[in-house]
Amino acid sequence: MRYRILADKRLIPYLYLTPFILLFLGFTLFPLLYSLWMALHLPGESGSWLDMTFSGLANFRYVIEDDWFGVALHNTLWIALLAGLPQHLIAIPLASFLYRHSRRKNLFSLFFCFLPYLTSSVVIALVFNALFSRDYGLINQLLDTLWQLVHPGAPLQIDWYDAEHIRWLIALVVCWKHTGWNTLLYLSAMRNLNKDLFEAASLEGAGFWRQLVIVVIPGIKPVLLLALGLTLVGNLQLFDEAYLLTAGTGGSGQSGLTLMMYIFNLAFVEGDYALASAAAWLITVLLLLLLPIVKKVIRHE
Amino acid sequence: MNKNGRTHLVTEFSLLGILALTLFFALPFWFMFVFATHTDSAIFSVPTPIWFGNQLQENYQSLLRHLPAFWLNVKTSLYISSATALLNILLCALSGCAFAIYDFPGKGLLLKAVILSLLFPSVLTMMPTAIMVSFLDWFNQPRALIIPAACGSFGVLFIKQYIEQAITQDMVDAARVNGCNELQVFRHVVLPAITPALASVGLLTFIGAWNNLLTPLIVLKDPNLFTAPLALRSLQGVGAMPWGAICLGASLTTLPFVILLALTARWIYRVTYHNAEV
Repeated sequence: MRYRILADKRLIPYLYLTPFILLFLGFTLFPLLYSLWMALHLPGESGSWLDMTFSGLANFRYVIEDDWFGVALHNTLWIALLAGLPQHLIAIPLASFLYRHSRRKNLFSLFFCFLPYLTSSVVIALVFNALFSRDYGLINQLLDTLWQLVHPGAPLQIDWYDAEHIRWLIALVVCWKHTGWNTLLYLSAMRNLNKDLFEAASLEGAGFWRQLVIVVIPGIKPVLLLALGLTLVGNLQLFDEAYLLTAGTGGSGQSGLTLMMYIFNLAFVEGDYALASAAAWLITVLLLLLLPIVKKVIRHE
Repeated sequence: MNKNGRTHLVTEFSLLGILALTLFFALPFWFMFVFATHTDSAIFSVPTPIWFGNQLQENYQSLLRHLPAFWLNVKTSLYISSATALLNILLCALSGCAFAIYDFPGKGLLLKAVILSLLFPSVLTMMPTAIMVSFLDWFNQPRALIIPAACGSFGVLFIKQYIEQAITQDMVDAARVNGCNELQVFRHVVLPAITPALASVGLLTFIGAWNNLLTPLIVLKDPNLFTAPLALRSLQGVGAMPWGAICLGASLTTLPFVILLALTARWIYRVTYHNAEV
């Protein structure tokens, strides 16, 4: 009897873990190794993805020398910065205000600010498509009205989908979607702030913005750095918004093409999984290079 | 006195700022609902309509004309999202429990592998997954979306962490002394303590599965079997886009989330910043 229980207890964790281990091996570990293997091989004669010939780093060299990879890298970094920074510049004061004035009606602001984060990016892209339409879209009507106040008789019509503007539009949508998430993150970080510091600061005559700089930001610094890191890593993997707003084409002059779209096109439009895997591993290296920074931040915390 | 007046003014200005920000986040949703009740030409007329029209019925018919399988798509989305969420709740609870309250050979290695795998972006598994899906002949099948996502590593680690904080080894031992077998320990000691964590895992995986675009794009080819977001996306670039119908479809797929968030807003509010007062 004693022995049976002992045997049971030893088996139980494996029993509990079996589904997880199978799924982890099948859909995480194996694909990771398989993609590395594919990145180092060229499709063989038969065209099968199991029978390939070893090619060393040829796939990586091809991707690095591909002009579109450079374009995609440039676009991605550009959008990552333009969408990433404003998120935090809005989220920190907003969270600070909601924290300082914890009134019931402020729940409305939190509600609407978080709603975009839950909404499907397809829905968001389609609605913004309608609002930013070139000819009679709401945004262009407003801009035109404002413009004509200053320059009467000179109509303004911005094509948000041309090579010059599409990245701004993508960045705006990404920023709009993720600000609420960051606000929530900062709000929960502010729970640990020392309330007395606010009292002291306001006795010294420091207003909202001054308190933000001298009390809030030093207090949430670890979370701030972590959130910036998460935003950067997330933005480097941007796909949905760019894909949807350019209708999958990358936009005119490919100025809305992101790294993830580049890989997607290599794999599922051109059908070259080996090149796509090589490109994916290049991005991984780029992300892993950022890792020491994130690690340092976490240790700091 | 003077200073007091200034403080009031500053507060008024901040309130104005908050109002503007709230509008910035809320207005696209407002226009989505408003556009759902107007004809395509009314949506792009000068000035843009800001109040509801009377074309709801027509837009609904247009939506069903363009997407005959719309409700089937919504059902597919619901099925995929709830199956993924339920499987994650069950499997993450079991695996998290195994990691948190048992010691077994290979535990350290397995944990290290799981944490390490989180460092790699999901794009790496995209191509091999496509090959596996075609090898298993899972194209156009919801299981191609459900099974690979059935037990997320993040969820497992989150539940493990949560159990370690909520339950001590003493509690487990006490239950055993009182005659609980291991399954009863899981059922009566662990599960009741981690319900809030399981709710978060379920909610997050549900939303993640519902909003997933990339994987359905790869594995679903038949429009009748599309998820709801994929079906809406297929209306993009088909000549003259039926904007009223698109906004109606978008509204119908978003409304459940608006209601869900409205119901849980109080809870999120309490968790994130009412605790601050404690």
